[in-house]
Amino acid sequence: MPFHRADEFTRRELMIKMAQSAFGITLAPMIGSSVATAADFAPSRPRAAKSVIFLMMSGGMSHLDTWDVKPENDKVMGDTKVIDTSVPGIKLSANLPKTALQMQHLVLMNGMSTNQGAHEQGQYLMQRSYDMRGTIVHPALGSWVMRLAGKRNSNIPGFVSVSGDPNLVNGGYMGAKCAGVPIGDPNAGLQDSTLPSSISEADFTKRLSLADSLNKQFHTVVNSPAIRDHEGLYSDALRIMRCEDLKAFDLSKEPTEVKDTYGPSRFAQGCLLARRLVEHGVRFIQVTHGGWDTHYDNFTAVPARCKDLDDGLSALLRDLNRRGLLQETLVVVATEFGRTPEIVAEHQDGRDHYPKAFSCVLGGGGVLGGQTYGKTDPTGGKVIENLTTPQDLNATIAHALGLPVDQVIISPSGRPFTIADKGKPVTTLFA
Amino acid sequence: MHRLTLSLLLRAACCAATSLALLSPAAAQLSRKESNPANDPAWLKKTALEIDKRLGAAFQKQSVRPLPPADDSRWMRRLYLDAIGRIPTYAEAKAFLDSSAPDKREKLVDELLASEGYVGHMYNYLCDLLRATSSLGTDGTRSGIPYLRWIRESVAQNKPYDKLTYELITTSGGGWEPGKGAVGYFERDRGMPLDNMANTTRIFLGTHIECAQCHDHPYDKWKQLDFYEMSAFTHGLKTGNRDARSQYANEKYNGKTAETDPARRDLFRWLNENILDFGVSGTGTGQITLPKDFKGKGGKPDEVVKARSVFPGASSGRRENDDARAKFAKWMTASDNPRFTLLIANRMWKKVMGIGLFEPVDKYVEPNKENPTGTLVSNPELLAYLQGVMRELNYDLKAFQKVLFNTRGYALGTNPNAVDPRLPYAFQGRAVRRMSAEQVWDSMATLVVPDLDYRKGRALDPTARVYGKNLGQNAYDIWKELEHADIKTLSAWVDRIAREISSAKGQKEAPAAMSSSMMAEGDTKTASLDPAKWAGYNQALLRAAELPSPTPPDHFLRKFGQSSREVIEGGSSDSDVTQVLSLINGHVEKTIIGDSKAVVYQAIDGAATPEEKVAAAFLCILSRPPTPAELDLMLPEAKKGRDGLKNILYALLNSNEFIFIL
Repeated sequence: MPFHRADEFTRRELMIKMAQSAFGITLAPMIGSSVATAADFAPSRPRAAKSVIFLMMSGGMSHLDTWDVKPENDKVMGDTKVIDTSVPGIKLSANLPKTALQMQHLVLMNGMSTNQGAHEQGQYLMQRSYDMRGTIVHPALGSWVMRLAGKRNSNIPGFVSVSGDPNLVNGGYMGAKCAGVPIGDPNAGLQDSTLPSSISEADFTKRLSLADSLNKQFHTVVNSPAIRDHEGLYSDALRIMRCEDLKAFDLSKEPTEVKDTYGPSRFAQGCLLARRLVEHGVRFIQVTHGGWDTHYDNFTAVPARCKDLDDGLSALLRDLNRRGLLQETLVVVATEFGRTPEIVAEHQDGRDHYPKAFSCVLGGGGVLGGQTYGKTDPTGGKVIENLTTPQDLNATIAHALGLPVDQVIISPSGRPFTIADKGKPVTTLFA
Repeated sequence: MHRLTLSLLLRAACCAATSLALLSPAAAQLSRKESNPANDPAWLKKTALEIDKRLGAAFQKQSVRPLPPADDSRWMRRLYLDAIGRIPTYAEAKAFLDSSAPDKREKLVDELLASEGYVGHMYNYLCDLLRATSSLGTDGTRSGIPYLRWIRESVAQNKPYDKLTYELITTSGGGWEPGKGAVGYFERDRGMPLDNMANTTRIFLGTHIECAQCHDHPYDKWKQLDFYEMSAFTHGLKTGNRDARSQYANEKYNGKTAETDPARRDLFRWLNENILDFGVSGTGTGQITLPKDFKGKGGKPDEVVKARSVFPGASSGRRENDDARAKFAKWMTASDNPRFTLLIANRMWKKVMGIGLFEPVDKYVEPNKENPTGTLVSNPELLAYLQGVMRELNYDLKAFQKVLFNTRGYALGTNPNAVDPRLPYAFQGRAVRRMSAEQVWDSMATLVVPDLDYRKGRALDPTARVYGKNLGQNAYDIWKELEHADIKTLSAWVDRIAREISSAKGQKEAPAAMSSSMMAEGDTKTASLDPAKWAGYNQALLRAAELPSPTPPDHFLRKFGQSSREVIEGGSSDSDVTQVLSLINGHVEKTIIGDSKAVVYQAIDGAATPEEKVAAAFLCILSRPPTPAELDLMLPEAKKGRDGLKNILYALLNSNEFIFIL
């Protein structure tokens, strides 16, 4: 860690104490008793990754125009050019020039294949490892990680989702405690985490102490765990407001030159926020980058999307590496499916949905970078080696974190589930 | 009949099921009593007393002492929240508490159940139960509005629950065909007919059969074969209609001949997804082919099986014109179906009393090998009696709730201890629970907007909108115009609308609240009110029932646990820290306290002295006067003027007593 956790902890405790004595609120036991704490969790393998940054390319990222290039086959490549990378023998699309220089950290998962060809079902499977059902909502991957590994830093949320649809990161049957906390605009920070300007510090103290007095009388009428939990959340909310870690959410604390290396796009700034959150011990950060549904005009739309991805991802990898965090942070680039090798001329050279073959990427977190895993045929239309399902990818992420892929959690309706369903982790990718 | 124990009742019902299932709905309709017994004060009193007697017997048997009755203000607040889903306004609270009429409680029950607030609250309940959404299908392109309107109208007409259920299961027609909104029940699950059946059995029969979709149930008696035999009833019904016209329209936005103009592409897409390829047809074939990977007992892969109900009573199949859907619906909603009445009686008990006589309310298991006790029922005699009442009332849910609201059991004080809903409970006092998301939102909006219940939103507006563009026409009318149109006419329609849209560019949409088309729909109560009365009030503050179903994921309602309406009754009253952040730094300060027009300030400004101002704030927010100690606590703030009063309002809104229902 780049800073001294012990010092940080003492300072934080002091702040909380001050807040509590000021607000007359008693400290309740930590929220989320159903959420494991880091102390309870022992990873199943040494040097396991501690955090995950999950970059979701929503809409269906074209594999041929990004990670799975076919330099010999102009017909499927269309206008997309191919470049060398920092790893001899591995080529990438010219849409990703900066990422190409970071190839030594990356594993290209070019044998991905799914049975879901519609966006919502495809994203659901990718993020929840189960087919979408009308009878249950399965937890998101981040929710599973919260449930099995718990928070690293108890002061702030352990699962944060930047720019994505909050629906995609809800806790399903695991409930709100395991859900991703949504952040719409990475520059806006955590919603409602600061005192509005219309309330003075003095009034805020007064208000909460009045509420506390009312609650004390209320307890003589009725008392239940649900009420105590609710009240305890006020301490937690104050803790968030007052804690040093809140600045993790504040991108304005980042030097301009660092912000600039990431680039101006919302996605790239989301990557920067993810790095700050990892530094403060957030377990799972999802950053969504939309607009990959390139039915029309693929060869204009994909390079535009890639520009932001390339800026954000390459800066993130460099930054994490420089701070010594890359080894303990798994970076994932995922999408719900790929796009057709056929180019639809009628749609200004578009590509349609293609679930049969696509690519995802892993980096850091103990993976052996500079390699590809899985292979498609010369058209990019069929996986011919090491076919990997979304469940396998999620099992691999779980493995990186040292989580038990076979641990069964029973839903409230009595049905048994595991983090990656029947997915098999690709253990050979790790040292 | 009422004195039978539950098990006897069930046994008797099972035996009688076959013969009664043959009754036609028309015959069942004729057998209904003309007058509603709940309108007879003597009957109402007697029935409420019978319920109280059974509660009393349980107190005696379990040696528990009932809590002393709730005082007027607590009972009133509870009733407002349970019956219409929000706290009373200042004027409403004052009128009730000041009244000395001996029958003021009975009167208030009647008044609230007859109000617009009841319709919205019950509509929320049904949307949650039926997973009804503003847009249908996983890609969300078909409109769910006709379905939502059908639900809303059914509540407004107080349609009996058996009739409502029958229509859900049997309706055929276009999505926007007038009167056919119930087709949304199947359109909701297009492409997932098996999941739809699993939900049907769970909602109406309290049976979790979804596990048996893929294998024999591990903890219950259901076999995979049972699941497919049930599914055979609705198998063969078609959602959508991919005929030549639909294919033509599809080509125009999705195919090789797609329109190059995006507006025209959007119009063809809307036309296809909302008019041509939207609706339910087919009666259900009554048979189904078992899947290739079928592994349950009693069947083989690819075998064709006939429809058969999980509880004896109905079967169908392999016949021409065999209306399997109707047979299924008739069997399911028959008054002697072993589960239908049981489920809805218990659901309504929970809705009024806070906890079901068994929980969860959608799961009732009879004793079996794997589960020798079966579902634990808190008061079997009472549950049996309630089923009799439900039958006697012909599934009139409003009348049923009226009976319960009139019991002394409902008026008992609050249980000071936590009650575990999974364990049998004698109902010796009200169990405390947090307000639902809708109750929190609506109660807060009550403090800001006058006559909130009548302020209409656009969530049920049938005006056709194509990706945000208003077509200036009601979608029901477009359906009528184009129902039988040929391809040429469809093209001409797109031409005309595209022209109209392009010439209307730059014109602004009407504001969200009070769309004129809603008023034209004949809601006289709305039309008689002056929309100008809401001028200047925060447009976002409409009752939850007037907002899209569900609201967007980042909405306050969702943060506080509104169901995503993906699963049955998916709402949650669990607290979490983002809610508290919103209570201390967000919604409370920004939309209530920071809004100088909020009606809560009118109540406070109307009070002369600081003491009276504190009393007004308490009445507005907690529906009761302050205790002397609370008055002492708040007076120094009230004397500071507006800033101090803001502190009081904030503290009250952040108190446990505001958000927990006593």
